[in-house]
Amino acid sequence: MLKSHERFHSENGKRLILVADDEAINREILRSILQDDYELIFAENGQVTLDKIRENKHTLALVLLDLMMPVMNGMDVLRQVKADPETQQIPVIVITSDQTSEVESLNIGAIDFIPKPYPQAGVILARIRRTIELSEDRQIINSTERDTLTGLYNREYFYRYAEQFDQHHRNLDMDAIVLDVNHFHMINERFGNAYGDTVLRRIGEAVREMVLDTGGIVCRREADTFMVYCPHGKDYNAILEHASIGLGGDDADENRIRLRMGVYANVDKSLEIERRFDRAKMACDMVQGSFTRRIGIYDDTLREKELYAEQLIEDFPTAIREHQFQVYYQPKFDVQPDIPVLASAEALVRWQHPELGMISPGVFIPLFEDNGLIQALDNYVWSTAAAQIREWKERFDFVVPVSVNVSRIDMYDPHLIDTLQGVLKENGLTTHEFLLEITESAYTMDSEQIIETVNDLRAIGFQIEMDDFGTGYSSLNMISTLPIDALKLDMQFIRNAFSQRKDTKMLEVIIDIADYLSVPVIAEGVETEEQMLALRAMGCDFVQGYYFSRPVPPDEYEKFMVERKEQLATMPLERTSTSNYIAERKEGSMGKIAHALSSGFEVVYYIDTENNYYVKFSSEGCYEDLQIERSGGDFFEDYLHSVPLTVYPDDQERVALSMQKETLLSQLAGSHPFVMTYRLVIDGEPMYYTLKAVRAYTHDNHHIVIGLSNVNEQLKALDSGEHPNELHFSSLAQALSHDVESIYYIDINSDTYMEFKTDGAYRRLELETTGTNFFEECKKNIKEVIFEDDRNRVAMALDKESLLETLRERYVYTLVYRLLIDGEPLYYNMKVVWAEGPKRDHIIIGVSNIDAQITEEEKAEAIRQATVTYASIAHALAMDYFSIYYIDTDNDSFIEYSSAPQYKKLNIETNGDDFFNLSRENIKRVVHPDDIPMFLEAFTKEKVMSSLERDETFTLTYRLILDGEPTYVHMKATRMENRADHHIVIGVSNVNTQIRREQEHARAMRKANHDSLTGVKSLHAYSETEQRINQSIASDEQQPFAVAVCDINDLKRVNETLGNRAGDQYIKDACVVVCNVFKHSPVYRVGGDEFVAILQGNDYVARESLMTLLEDNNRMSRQIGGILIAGGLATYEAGADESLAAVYDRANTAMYWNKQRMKGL
Amino acid sequence: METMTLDDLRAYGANVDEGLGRCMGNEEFYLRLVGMVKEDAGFAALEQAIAANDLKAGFEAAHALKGVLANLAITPILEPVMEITELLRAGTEMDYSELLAKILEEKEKLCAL
Repeated sequence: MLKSHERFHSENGKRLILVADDEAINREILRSILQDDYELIFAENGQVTLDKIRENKHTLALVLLDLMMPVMNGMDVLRQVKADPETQQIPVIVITSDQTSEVESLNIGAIDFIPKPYPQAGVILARIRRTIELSEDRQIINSTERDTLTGLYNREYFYRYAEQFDQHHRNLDMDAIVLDVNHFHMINERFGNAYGDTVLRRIGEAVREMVLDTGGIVCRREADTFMVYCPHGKDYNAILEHASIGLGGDDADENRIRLRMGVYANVDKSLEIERRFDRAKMACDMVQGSFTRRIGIYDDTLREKELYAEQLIEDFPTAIREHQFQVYYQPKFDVQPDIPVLASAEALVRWQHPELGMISPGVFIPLFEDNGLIQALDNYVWSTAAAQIREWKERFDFVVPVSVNVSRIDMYDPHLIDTLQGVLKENGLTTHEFLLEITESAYTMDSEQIIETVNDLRAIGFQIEMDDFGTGYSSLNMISTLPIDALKLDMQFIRNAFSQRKDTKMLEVIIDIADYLSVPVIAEGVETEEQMLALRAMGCDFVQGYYFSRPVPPDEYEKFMVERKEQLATMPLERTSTSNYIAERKEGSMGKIAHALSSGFEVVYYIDTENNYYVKFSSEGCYEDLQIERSGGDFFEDYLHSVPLTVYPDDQERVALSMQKETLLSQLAGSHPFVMTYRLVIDGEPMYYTLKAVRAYTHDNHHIVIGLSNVNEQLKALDSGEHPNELHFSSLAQALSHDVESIYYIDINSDTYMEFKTDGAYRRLELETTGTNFFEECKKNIKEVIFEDDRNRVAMALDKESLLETLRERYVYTLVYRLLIDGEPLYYNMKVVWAEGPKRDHIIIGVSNIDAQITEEEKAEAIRQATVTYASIAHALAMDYFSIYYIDTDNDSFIEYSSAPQYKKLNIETNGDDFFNLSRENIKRVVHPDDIPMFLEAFTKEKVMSSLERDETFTLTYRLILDGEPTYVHMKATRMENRADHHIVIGVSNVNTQIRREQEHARAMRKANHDSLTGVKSLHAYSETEQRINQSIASDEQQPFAVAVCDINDLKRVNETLGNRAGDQYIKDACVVVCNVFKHSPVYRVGGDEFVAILQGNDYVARESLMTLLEDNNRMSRQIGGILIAGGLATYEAGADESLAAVYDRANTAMYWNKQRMKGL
Repeated sequence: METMTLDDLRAYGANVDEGLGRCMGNEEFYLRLVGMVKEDAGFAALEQAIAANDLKAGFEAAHALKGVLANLAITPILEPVMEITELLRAGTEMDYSELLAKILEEKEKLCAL
């Protein structure tokens, strides 16, 4: 253990001062004055002083120098210190009783002097403090030794200090330790860089705090790697534990951030310092990916490994020269056809070492990757493989492409493309015959540069397979954002999925997503038929692995080529040709989508709203058989582009507005589907369609499914049933005339026309005039009534021949122009359509004043009203109803329109009288007994009618007994649009799956949101709250709040001495205290011993007194030996704080101070 | 051996309060340092230098003693030490034995405390 005065000043917050005086008593006096505030080292003569200054030049904050000293005079020491650029920045205060020397010393460079006999202690301390402050302020400008994020040393300084430390402690045994965060990229990816930085800072603080106790120095090596150099013999578990403080809960939470650690114990000091830490890093990497081992120790095994590695590196040049490396080929099969077909092969390298025998690539590849030799090896493999392909090509007269590996380091080679093209040229190959595999981790390391290179490669035709997907930092987002042509699932990933606790969920999701992005998936390491079949069923395209063949030498591989050639002769298989690698697509996520929408749709879109990627499925009339029609990068943009081409003109605006991304998402914010009915123009005819949008999954909110179904026939059926044509025509006429001022009905054979004008209330169309030559009259009128700028356009539009031609093409024609009304230009819209009828001899022109709608708000309002117009029909049609009842409320007679087969079993009358009473009677047979009282209470005619009067709708959810099972159904009643119509429509839909799912979801959410030990809110809940608050901060809507961080003291000791059970009780007790203090605020358990309360409203106002309450509690607790809780409070500063994390950080710091203070008590 | 007290030192003539002030008011520490003065090799060094008529070495020894005695405010010895320091610094050729005897006498008194 280091003695306290030998510690590095920087790690315990104390500055280091060298006291140089030959008199022991003087040194003792200064020691007694300074030791509380400073770390001290001493020198008793001038030479020693100079040596120590040089040794500690990086850490010394000040030198107190006695001018009269033996061996070397203080003045000479001062001169040398100030002459040396390495030491001249260290401030020196001279101590002297000799006034003449004072001036001289100041001239040489002393910063100040202290006289002898010494002034009072306070004076000395004040002068020293001031001197250090001044000189540090000056140095801060060129200080580069610290990492700005964590405040720890950076790597270079760390190594230098470590060396210096060794000089100073030659006989002290030391340990080199490396700490690494598991999957740090994932943390950044999932929670954002700001959170990642917070994590790094917390680790930095924890490690710094740790060496405070044990001695040593620490630094951040890079990204998420920390290094510790400390005296040998620490409890490594304790170190890891300490470094993990503040990184999340004790329970097996999957979000938990874990550190791993590598130790090179009792270092060999003859090794360079960098090598020592390389060894620690090696030990650390050894436990990477292990769930059980978190600490790796550099030992003989690793030592042997190191020696072995050294030998391999040494032998490499000879191996290349003597062709010891051999290229093997492992086939990849297309498994989608009934009989799998050879699609390509991967070239894999083997090393036949003359002394060591066959060496596994798993051994030498990572090694060569580390030291860059891999580049030479890759080049070797590329040339060998390319020559082999050429040889096969010549001999078999056809090509099966081969993929080669491109290492990360190759991607930085500016000559990469030249090299690869050279290889192709030399062997007469194309980019379709020579595929490239790039490891996934390359993508994550330095994305931008890599992506640029990949894009360049693809631009000249290379096809890129992303290798090793699923090993490192795989994220699903990567597949959708990175330029790749195929995705290769890592062998280990496949093995895990098919291991004993077979869990293929993740696999399915990845395949699904790749699927919908049209990226083919290749599974590596497939060993059994079962695996192959399962993968094929999931939609995986290609399979590589022992199931088909291990990697084999070229001559053995040839048998696959022969086989393939025979197949080709008998049944040519398009899809295995390399050019349609991105094959036309297939089933996949169909099941899920079909499920999400239980009724049949003609067209279904599956959309990821995070990146707007989508897949369009269409049924071509057969609902069970949706096919992917296409996919694209921006659903909303593509859809809006299609509106003018496909949607009936009257409905275009409404559709366009409803299908804005924001509008649609806000509609779907609840769990309700969004439904809209509108007309598409199909073969020149308007057809009613219902669009239904739902969220695809309850567990994520960024996939939506949109279905389109043709409801034209249903609408007609509804219209032509019991209830007369008026419904149809009146509603259509109303919709059409809603905003129309005049309508012209023109016979295009005779050009005679009728002009209708709407009455003031837009209710009825009245015949205004008739005429004989519509087009001629228009031409004459144009000058009088059309605004000057628009005259030409209108004249051209109203040219009879071209108008009719347009109509034949597009069915409708619209034109916006300005009419002069009382000398003012006002916007008008003209719509021209064919009149109904088979002969197409009449057209209808509607003219509407749109000037009043010109502002966005008014437009929106118009849309809303239009939506309401269709709501009743749309709802009745689209909600997956079992059954629709059409009820005349005058006499309670009803008709049932349709019924699901299952529902038919209930034997409900399909028409009849006295709907309400009959229903009340029936339900006693079919409704779950528990729900009967509720149903009878709610479902009376009076209640239904008054609810309709009040809310436009009446809904009731209850359980039916279907096939003996209670099943949730949802009843919804709506009135007809026309208030004079006394009919209501009631639909009953099966919402069982949805409700059960919601219940399950709610249960799961409750579980996820609550800490299982204490019952307070969990870290998960906290991160949700955090998101919410961050959003309101971003939109400037956040109300004042404060964050209180509470940390239980001594939990570790309780766990260690009394066991974890007592520890758990301790946490629970502490939690009660915290909850009692912050009674009215949400309390979250965010770490093993850490709680956070978010104070708003009254608790916010009373925040200071609440903290006092916590203090009071601690005071009492201290007396009885109870639980102590360190608290820290911080208040949200509107305008300054950009996130909850910023407030939390301050609160956490306050808490740490408090905790330190409490330890001192 | 009886332990020396602050009162002893006061009676002896040391400016105890001043010296104590430099020792952060820590009496035990102050007494310990005064105890160290009794063993200080500087006295012997001074004696030898004077005997050898080495004025430079004598100055260095006296100067060092002066600093310590001043810090601890042991006035009875400090006064003759200051005197001899200045004479030696100036390289004055003279008979130092009387002054030296005075210093050693006061030191003995201190040692007797």
